[in-house]
Amino acid sequence: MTFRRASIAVALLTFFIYAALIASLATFLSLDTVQSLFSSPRTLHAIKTSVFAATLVVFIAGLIALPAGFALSRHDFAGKRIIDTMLELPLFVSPAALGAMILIFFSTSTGIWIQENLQQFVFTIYGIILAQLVAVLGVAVRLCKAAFDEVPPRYDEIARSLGASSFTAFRTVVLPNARRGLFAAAILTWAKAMGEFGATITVAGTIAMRTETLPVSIYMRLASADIEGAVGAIALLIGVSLLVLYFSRFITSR
Amino acid sequence: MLNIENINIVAGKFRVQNLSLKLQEGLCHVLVGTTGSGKTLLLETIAGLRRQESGSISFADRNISHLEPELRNVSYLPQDLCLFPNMLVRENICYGLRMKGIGAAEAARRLQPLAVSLDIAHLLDRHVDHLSGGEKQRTALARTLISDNPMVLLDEPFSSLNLGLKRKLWHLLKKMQREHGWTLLLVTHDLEEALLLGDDLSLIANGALVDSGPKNQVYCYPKTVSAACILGTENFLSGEFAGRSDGLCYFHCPDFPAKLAVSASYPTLAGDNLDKLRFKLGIKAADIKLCRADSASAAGCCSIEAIHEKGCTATLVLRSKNEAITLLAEVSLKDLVGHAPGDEVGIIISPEAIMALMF
Repeated sequence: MTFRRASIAVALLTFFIYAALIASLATFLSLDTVQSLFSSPRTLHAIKTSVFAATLVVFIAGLIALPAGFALSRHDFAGKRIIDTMLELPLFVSPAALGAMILIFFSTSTGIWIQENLQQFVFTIYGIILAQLVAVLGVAVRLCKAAFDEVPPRYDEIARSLGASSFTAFRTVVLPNARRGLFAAAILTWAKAMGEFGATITVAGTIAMRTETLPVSIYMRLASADIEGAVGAIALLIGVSLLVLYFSRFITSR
Repeated sequence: MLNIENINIVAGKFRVQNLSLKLQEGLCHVLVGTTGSGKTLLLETIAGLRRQESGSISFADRNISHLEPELRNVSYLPQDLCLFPNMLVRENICYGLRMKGIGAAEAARRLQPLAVSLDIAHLLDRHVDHLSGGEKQRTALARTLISDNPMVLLDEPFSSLNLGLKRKLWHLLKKMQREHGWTLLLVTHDLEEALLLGDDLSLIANGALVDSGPKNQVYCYPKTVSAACILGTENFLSGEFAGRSDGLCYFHCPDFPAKLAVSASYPTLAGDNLDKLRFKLGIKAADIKLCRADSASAAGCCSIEAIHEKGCTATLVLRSKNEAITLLAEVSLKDLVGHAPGDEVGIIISPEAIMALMF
């Protein structure tokens, strides 16, 4: 009983740490700040850029993470352990380092050729998307793998014994049974992309009305001593993220 | 005909070794074995869910050893049922038909009578998570049978059902198997089910085939101790061949001071030089009768150690006079009147009821 109480107390403490930080925003947050924030074209552009980039990143990451997560969940193959380890790279390498690695790649002859002949990434919105994708892809694959791990491989086998090809078994049995986990994976990937800062600023820079996402906007406002503006942007980011996370919890618990 | 030739299957440290089996077309072949003997492994290999290390499987003169599961035309009911939770009962049952490209009208035409026969017609629009164990088992059975594939593999298909329903479904399965001409391979632990459904019977232990053949031959005349064990024989006595006369073979049993007579027509007693062979005598508990300890017809004398009543019968734990061996006997309560633990009794065993087993 004592341990139960102690563990609950620690859980509450965790909540209060974040609650206190959020509450402290109120010191600088006023109705005027919120109004000026929403009427500012720069803020609206930052919201639009953040939401657009994060949403696109979820789709691109999904296209890669679904088959990759399934392969890691179901099959044994050469190099599986190395890939599994590599997925954690964005977790232990700082986002700024990831961004620097992307910049270094674009300084190589292959990178220069890509930038000159295919697409300019550095200091563009494509740079934001690439930086966010690199930062979240590992987590997305890991989350998809966890979602597929929840579906027993017996389902695939029995579907195949009933006449389904391996892809049809995946489409008709595995995917629908993993849908909650996959949905949660998509939401968490989206939230992580929304909050991504280090890699984004390193690759795309801080060009107002061009490569300014909400986290970059917070940084820029703090750097120019616009505390009220920074607080407004933080509150906005927290509001959007909490709303999406709460919605995803609600959907997945049904 | 399904022909399994010299198949070797590896699953972790367990191996099915050099197993060969022939299943006659249109007959029901029952596979009985101890837990972990490789029955499920064999079925999964035939269904294509596992790969054999060597050997071949052919069905209707077509080698199916290396075909993908969906190309084998084999219906498989797994022991763990594996109903798909994202589908209704109806969708689960018709999944195989959908995969074969059979239309909704034909699927409904096949589904309705089958669902009625299996008593799940009222469950068709339910989610499988809302079914009881027995309902799930019948749904999985319907999903397996509706495809009407020529080869059907059933892994303990009735294990979650009550006895009454089980018996009803045995007859239904037998009827359907004959009507459709399926070649059926059924795994079960239930000997009544095996003997009622099977035409042929195979016994498996530790990944190897112990015996195989027509069910009456395999059931009535097990040749080895492991075969008799699988068939539920409770009592085994070491036996030394002591001679043959008047259609009987006599064995001296050192553990149980007595000379037991076995019918000389028992298959393992056909040759000469029986005195050079090692035998164990197998006796089913139900074949031991009680008599007075001083009766001339008693094969031996025992004391009753315990009596466990179960309905109209009781299982007796008997200890031989020299205390070297314990026997189990199953007698009716009527025959037990006047006996109590500690009493001395004589036992009678018919020569036809004793199995001469080699090991």
